[in-house]
Amino acid sequence: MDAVFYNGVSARPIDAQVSLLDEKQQLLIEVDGETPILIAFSDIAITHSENGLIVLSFGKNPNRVIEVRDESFRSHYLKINHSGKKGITYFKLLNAGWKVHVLLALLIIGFCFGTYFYFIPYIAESAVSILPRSFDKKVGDMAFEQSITEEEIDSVATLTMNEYLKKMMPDEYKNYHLNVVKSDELNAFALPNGEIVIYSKMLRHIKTDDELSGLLSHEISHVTNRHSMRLLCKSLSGYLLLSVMMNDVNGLMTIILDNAHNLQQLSFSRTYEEEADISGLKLLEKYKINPKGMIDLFEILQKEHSVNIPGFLSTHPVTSDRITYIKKHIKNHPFSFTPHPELMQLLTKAKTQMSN
Amino acid sequence: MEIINQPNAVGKRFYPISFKGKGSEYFGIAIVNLLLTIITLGLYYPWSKARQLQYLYGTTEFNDSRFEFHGTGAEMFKGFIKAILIITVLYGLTFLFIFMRMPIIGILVMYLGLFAIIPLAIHGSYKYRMSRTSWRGIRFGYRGDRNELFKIFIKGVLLTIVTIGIYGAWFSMNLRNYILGKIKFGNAQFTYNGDGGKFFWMNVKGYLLTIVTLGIYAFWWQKDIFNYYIDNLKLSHDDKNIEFKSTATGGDFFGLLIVNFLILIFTLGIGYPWIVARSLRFIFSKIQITGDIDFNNLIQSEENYTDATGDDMSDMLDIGFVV
Ligand SMILES: [Zn+2]
Repeated sequence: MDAVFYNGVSARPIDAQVSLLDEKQQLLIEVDGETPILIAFSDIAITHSENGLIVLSFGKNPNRVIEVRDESFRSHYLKINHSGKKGITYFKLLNAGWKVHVLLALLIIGFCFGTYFYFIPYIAESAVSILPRSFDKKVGDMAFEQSITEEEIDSVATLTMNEYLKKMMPDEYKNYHLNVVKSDELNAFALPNGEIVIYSKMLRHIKTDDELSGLLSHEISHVTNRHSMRLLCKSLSGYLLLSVMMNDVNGLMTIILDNAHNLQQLSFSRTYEEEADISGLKLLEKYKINPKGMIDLFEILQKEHSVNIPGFLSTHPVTSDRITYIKKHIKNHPFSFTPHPELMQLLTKAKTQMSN
Repeated sequence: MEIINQPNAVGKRFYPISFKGKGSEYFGIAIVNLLLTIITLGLYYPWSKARQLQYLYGTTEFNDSRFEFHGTGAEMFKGFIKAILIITVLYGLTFLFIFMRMPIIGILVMYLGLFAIIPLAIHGSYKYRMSRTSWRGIRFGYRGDRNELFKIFIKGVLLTIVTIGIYGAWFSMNLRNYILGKIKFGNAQFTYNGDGGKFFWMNVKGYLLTIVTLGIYAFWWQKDIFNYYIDNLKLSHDDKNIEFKSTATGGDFFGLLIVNFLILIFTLGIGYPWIVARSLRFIFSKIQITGDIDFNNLIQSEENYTDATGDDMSDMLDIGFVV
């Protein structure tokens, strides 16, 4: 086979003959008037390979180059070369064709999307545990400041409701603060700093103290489980990734604080709701409160669903499925409970105190 | 192939140079390498870089022969590790000072360190890249002196700061004149003859006209810079020379960059290998080489140099390679 040989000393092309010794895994190079060169495939580097051209090189000093412009030689060399290195597998992968390459590209794009939409949010959510609790307070304060104004608060009913909270759970009440807010929206939510907001319309819909205790235990469990913070980190994971890459922790905190006002609009997932329900039930068990109140409340809310689209149901999706599993949980973990007339009294008091 | 090398009437020859790579091929290479890099959590990166350079050099043809890139993944991997170590030490020192409540000193160490590393990285990068590049088995080489480059760099940075950027044009030309003037191609010698003043006024003109034309002149400015880089390059061998001339026009650059931009947008970045291939095809098709050097007389003269630390460092610090 005709080839052009460069001896590594001069750039002058030398006409040569090359032949492949398949069994011996060697290449024979013959140049007129010179001793033939016999070189093992394993000592040859494929410098370039494309349809109709292969450039091989060997030796450190001088580095000699052989150029063969023949497709049958090239494909034969790539086929019989068993040296296992110098990129044989690699060139096979390269020659796999555009379909394989496009498929690989799609695979990589899929991988990137998967990382961005699932893995990174997952990591961001888990990363909440490294944020200090004091940060929850900061975010909650900011959100409270931005979403509730002084004149909206029914201060008299609020005072009574905090008394309710104190009687309901004497161990935990210090970390929380209830706010009755005058509003026609049927809603209640808790912020990461322990501020719990109940809209007056919601309070009016609540008939028994067990229902109210069920609602409060649920909201408090969102705070103890840091659900808002987890959701916030998850939904901001794209920005979080950027700020981590740029090594900018302050930027990260700023982004979270900037988005604090969105807190009350975040819609919790079923997993979070279930977690809050179950931990809420444990709180009810501790204070011997009838868990049926929680079910009653959700049933009332579900009935209201068709008329009140925005509100509690949009941030705390209630499904019949949800009521079923709460019932099931109560059945599997039965506990004793007693009536709480002092709580009922406070609830009635608060309801009469509300101006309209 | 010898026909093209025949002297014409004036004793000058044309030397063809072109990029023969295809976007689709380079796409395959980029994808396969990206996949391997992801699977190995980034460890394959040096090999991937070697492979891609090998392809880009191997598909560039000068005077009927391809360029060869001999750098290996193993060499680049070693350089990669060393570069990481150096940068880690620098970061470590900075954090140590910050930890010892001396943040000003820490940041100073950081900046001075980077300041010192950049010229060393450029030096190492050229030494490695040139030594691993060959044509017909004849290696390129960079014979620059590290301290000399360091001096040019320090002087350039300081004067650029003092003159609020104006000296930048002279600095850029001094670097180019020095670096390219130290590049050998076998026993042939490159020279670059850039003039800071001319380069400065060219950029002033480009800047002002770009503002006046709401950005449209940017393509012509780009053309001016490219042409200035190419037209002042020369290669000498004994008493013979070849000269480089760019035939690119502002319209050419307009077409190239607009299409590149559209490819990038509409393929969500996946089309990047096409952009590289078509840009290289464009660049080499616009370079005209004439002269009287007989490349058959080129002799091997440059040493092997296998330390890729500088090259990897440049890569990490994202210093562009300027040839
Ligand atoms: Zn909830």
